[in-house]
Amino acid sequence: MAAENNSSSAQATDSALPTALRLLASVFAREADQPLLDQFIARRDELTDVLGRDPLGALTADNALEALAVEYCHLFIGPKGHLPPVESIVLGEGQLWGPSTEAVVEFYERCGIASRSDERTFPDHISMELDCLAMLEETDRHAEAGNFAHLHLLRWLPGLLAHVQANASLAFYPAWLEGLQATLADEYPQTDK
Amino acid sequence: MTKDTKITNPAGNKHDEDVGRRVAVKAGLLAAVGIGSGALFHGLTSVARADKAPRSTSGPKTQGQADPDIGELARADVDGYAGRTGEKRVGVPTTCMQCIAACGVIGYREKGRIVKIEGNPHCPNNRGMICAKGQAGVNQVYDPDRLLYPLVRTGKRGEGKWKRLSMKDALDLLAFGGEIAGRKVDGLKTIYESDKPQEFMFHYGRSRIKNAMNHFQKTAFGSGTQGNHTSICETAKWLGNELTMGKHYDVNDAAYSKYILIFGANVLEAHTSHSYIAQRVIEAKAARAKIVTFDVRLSNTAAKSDEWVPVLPGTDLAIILAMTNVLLNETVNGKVLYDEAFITKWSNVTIEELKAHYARYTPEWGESESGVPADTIKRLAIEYGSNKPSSIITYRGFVGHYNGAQAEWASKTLDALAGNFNVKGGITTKLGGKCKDGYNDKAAKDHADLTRKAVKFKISDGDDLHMPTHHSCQWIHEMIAEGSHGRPKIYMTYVYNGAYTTGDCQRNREILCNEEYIPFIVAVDVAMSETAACADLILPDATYLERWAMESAASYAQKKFVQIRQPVVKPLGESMDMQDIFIQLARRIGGGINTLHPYDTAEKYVRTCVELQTADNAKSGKMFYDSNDQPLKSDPWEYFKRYGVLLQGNKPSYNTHAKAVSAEGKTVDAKTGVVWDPHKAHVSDTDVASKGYTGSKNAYKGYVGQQIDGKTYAGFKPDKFNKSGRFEIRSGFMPSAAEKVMADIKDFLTPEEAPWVAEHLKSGLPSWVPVPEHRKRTDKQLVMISFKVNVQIHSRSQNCKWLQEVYHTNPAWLNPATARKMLGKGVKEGDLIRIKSEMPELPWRKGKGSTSVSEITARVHLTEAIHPDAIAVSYHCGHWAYGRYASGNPVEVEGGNTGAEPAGENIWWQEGNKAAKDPTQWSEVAGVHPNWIIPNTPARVSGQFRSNDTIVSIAKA
Amino acid sequence: MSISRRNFLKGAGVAGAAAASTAVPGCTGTRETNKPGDGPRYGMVIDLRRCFGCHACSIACKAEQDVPLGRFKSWVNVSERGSYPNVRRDFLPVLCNHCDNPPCVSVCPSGATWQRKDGVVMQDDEICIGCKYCIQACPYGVRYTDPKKKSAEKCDFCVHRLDQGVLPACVNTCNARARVFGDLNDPDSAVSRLLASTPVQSLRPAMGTDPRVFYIGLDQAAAKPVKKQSSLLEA
Repeated sequence: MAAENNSSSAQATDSALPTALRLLASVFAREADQPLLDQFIARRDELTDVLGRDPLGALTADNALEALAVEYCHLFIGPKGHLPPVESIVLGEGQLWGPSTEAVVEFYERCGIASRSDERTFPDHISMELDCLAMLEETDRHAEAGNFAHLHLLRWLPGLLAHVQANASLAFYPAWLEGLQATLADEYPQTDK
Repeated sequence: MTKDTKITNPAGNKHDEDVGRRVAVKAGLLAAVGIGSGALFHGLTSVARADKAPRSTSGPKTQGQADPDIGELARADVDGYAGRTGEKRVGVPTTCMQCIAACGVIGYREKGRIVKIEGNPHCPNNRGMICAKGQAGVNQVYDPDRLLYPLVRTGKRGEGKWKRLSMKDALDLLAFGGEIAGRKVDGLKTIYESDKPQEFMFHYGRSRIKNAMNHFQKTAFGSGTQGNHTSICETAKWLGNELTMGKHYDVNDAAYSKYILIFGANVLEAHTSHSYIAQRVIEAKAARAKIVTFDVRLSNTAAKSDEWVPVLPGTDLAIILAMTNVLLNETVNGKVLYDEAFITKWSNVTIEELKAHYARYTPEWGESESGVPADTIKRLAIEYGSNKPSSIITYRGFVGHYNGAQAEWASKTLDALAGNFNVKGGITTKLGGKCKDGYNDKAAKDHADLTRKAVKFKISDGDDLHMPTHHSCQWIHEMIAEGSHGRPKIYMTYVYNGAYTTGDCQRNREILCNEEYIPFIVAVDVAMSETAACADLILPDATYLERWAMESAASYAQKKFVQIRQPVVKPLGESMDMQDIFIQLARRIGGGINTLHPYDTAEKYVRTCVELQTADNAKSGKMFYDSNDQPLKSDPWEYFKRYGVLLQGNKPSYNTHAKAVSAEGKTVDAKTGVVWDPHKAHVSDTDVASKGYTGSKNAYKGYVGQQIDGKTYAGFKPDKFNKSGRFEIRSGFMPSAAEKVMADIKDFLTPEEAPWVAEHLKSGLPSWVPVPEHRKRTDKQLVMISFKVNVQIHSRSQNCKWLQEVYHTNPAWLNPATARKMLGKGVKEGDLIRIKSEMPELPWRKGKGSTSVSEITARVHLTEAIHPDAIAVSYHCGHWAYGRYASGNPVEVEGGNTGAEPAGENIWWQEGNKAAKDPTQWSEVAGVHPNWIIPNTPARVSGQFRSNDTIVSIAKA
Repeated sequence: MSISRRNFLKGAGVAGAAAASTAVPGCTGTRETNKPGDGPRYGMVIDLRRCFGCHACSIACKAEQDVPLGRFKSWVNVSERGSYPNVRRDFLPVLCNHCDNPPCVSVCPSGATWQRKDGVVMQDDEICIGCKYCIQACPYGVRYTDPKKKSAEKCDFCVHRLDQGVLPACVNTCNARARVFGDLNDPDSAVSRLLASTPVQSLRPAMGTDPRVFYIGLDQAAAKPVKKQSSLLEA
């Protein structure tokens, strides 16, 4: 656990980290919906400060929904030049539901976690892996969360980030992904070997 | 917040240099949490911790069957086995759909993932063996580019800009209409409730859900505007079957043949029944049958044959006619080679008539047309006629020409003359199993008042064709563009990739992308095909390994059976079986169509089919048998799910035409001897009296049998038109084609030929028709043909990485002597060449006979294994969509992660090769598609796509 | 073949013979498989008269053995000869020969490669140190380095299936029934009956490896030198 923060910040960390992780998961789980975007637009300056860059750029309340839906599809769904944000693809296993996906499912099982029965998202989707971290954090299993982060999400996040940075036409997803990476780096630092 | 603390940066993000900002990000995000995003993502849930089952080092001894010819160990079976890691694999029998052969397979699921496919030993056709394509089926499920979510376009059609919709919103859009890229479109409900239901068009490619599809579209919705894909491959062949033996398929009982002639059919690499006809041809070979293959190339089938006879494309018909002449005139040891008894009793000609008609088709004449030496024609015909049972296998190399239907008609005639029909080791009419249909036999009957009589726009049959009994799908785009027969408002494609699989691809795309022609295009598929790329709305289909169906294939075991298709794994992402999409649409449209869809799932429908058939068996005395040919003792549905098949016959059946049938209560047509039920065919009594069987519309639907010499037999059952139950060699349906055909070909005939060719066309007997444009081919031109290879199917397997690895480019096969002549003496293997279409225009197609793009580039493969006047380009390659493996368009990311499997140094797209920007140009990773320069102009008689007729010139690029 | 490699193999042969007597730990050594009466000795006969080069075996193996792209444990060589119209094409499925005198076993320094009594030459990817001596030593090019694990990999006759009484994946799927598999020590087995009745050949007999994969109808001229994995996909 990062010991560099001041203590009041650390207290805030403990209780709100799961929610923060879920917020990040929500940004990547599916296209941003209007309520979320309205909030982001309303608190744009705050977000810019938080993320270190303005995630919205020229986007307004009128055009953000559509523009981001197109961008999400372009980066993560298809048809060309996209990278599904799932571990097995980004790690180069060349298929959906690869060995990594199985390893993730096994990790979930050992932790008493499983996909919801109505959930069609892949277990190794970035949103699911973030949700896993959130569930572990909110049940005080920070060490297991760190374990999961290093075994899985942190291994492929750089590859996903490189793709998003290279191929995004808007600032939104690079900004959030960079923020995500920074958060994880802070929360689950690499221990020197 | 401290700004000077060192924190290691495992991500190495070069943008994130301000160490303190990281802390701020976290803290800031915590504040941002107050943003009140109430519904934060929650994809996981707590469950009881599972104790990890101890890994076994070996699995249970399987109960499978051994095949004594190959060893004492058992074949993998439905009980499953343990994989390399010791994990148990559950076996789920199902039916392959990598091609149309529909082999019985077993999908093996390990830890929730399908990992292996084997042949199902219980399936009488393929008996536990499958081909490379079947083995690669797992690649379809986990293809990284697989369509998993509905998409709606946001830019212009074909621009490639999409956004995702939920399945609910996508189905709402299709059912109720809405807005697409700023334009309003009507939905299905509006069309259903209008007086023009035919404005809903459904165009299917590889659909194995015919009953569900016809029920939804025709019976319930009332639209008959349907497209298929048959003419891309073999509509000419089916017409040839229908003129003579009746309903397709023809089945070569090869395992027991003593002599097999193969014309333009590559059974060891392809064919409608690929795996299981290939198995049986090899069995014949092992039993010392002689196999002779006529082909433009030394295909792998030709390579395993005893003789390869090179053929000039489109001249197979001449060889067949000449061989028939030989069979009629030669004797061996004083015995004739033809089966006079069969011709006399079952056909509608006499030997004398045939001898007179075939007199001019001498082996010498055959040589003059085909280049095959007269002696060879004569020798092979005599061998074929004196080593019985024999048969002729034909396919697309034989029929994919202007004269394809005529060739098939002549070939079936030759087999009949030789006495090969319906005998063991000969050629038989198809036996296919069937269960009662839960839709049209039950749901429609329960609510007959809600069913509709389907009305259609006449756009599927080309224009001014003679008898396109299986339609002319490659001309549908032109018919829509021309518009005088109507245009669909909603054009829905289902696993149909017409933009790519037909010719003149540029023109296809132009028409599809024109929003004025078709307001709303919906594509249902597993991959972003070239056609889906031109759509407005895309629905992700479930792969064949994730869904249900009642399956049936032509039985090469000569006994009927049905096969199950059932999910090995649940559909990935939001993909949905088309049958379930139909149900969801019916629910939304409401009214009659909703009531007519009583099953909530496709599983329920398939189960109902089995239950209905079980009830019918009890009434009719028919039975189900198990895979050991024993009467089935257990519950049929449970047996079906466990073993994958239900047999409906337990011994091989031959001579089916000679089976006695009852004429009781039926009408006997005096003129033809056909015994039929006019009421079943909806023919009025007045028409029966005035028009008789032959003249009454769709009378064939009431066919019962054929009366010959006072007895009624099953005969050769007609299909699509009112052929009698005889094996018709003389056709009453062909003389009326003479005028159209002569109009096409007269400018290409010599003055000596024209009169007798015209006379023969009117005779109603199989006769010579050249591929007209080939008569004008100069010695600077070649005929371009297309072909298949063993690891690919036409267009749907190139997303399978294991197959694509073996074959991903399609160099043009060229004879080295030809290459030196046309490209210069320095020509080398792999040189880049230009292939230019120079197809003369037929008068009938003036202005519409050529292609928008006339030239492609390709690398050349110099090989002695091809006729010197031909150039062969397989049509598997040259995708410009269909995902990264097919098109060679991986994601380019710094650090080299392409999103596809990188592995070591042999990955084809990592050799620095890129997909071509212009898909008409050769790509080192994806080859080039020949269809750009193949015209869509249908063959006049059948509507066949002429994939093997294009005249081209070549030059160094 | 380079001179140095030839010398290496000569040396390997000598070392192999020596290794047999010094019993390298983990190795059963060479020529120590079951003799008739002691137990089974697995082998395969491939009838090239039947094989039509469909690659079902190549892909079945890919799936069953988890083989990455760019590598094959079983492959089909295709060769063409003649001049128009007298042309022939030959198909040659190639896999590990599970030799009775396997050079790979002799040279393995870590014992990761060893041979079972029933003749299956095994490969343990956890012990393997990735030195590639075995890849060099094999005259058939049927071994490769796994790009992720860095260990040597090869066909193991689907030994996990054999132990359950199930045919190897390549044999199971072969549409030509060209592959026959079983116990060479059992005179009534399908393989033994074939060997007793039909002339067979093996690949590169001069290498002294004593292969246990036999071919019917092997045309040595058509059996072009088996290539390294990196060139398997060349036309």
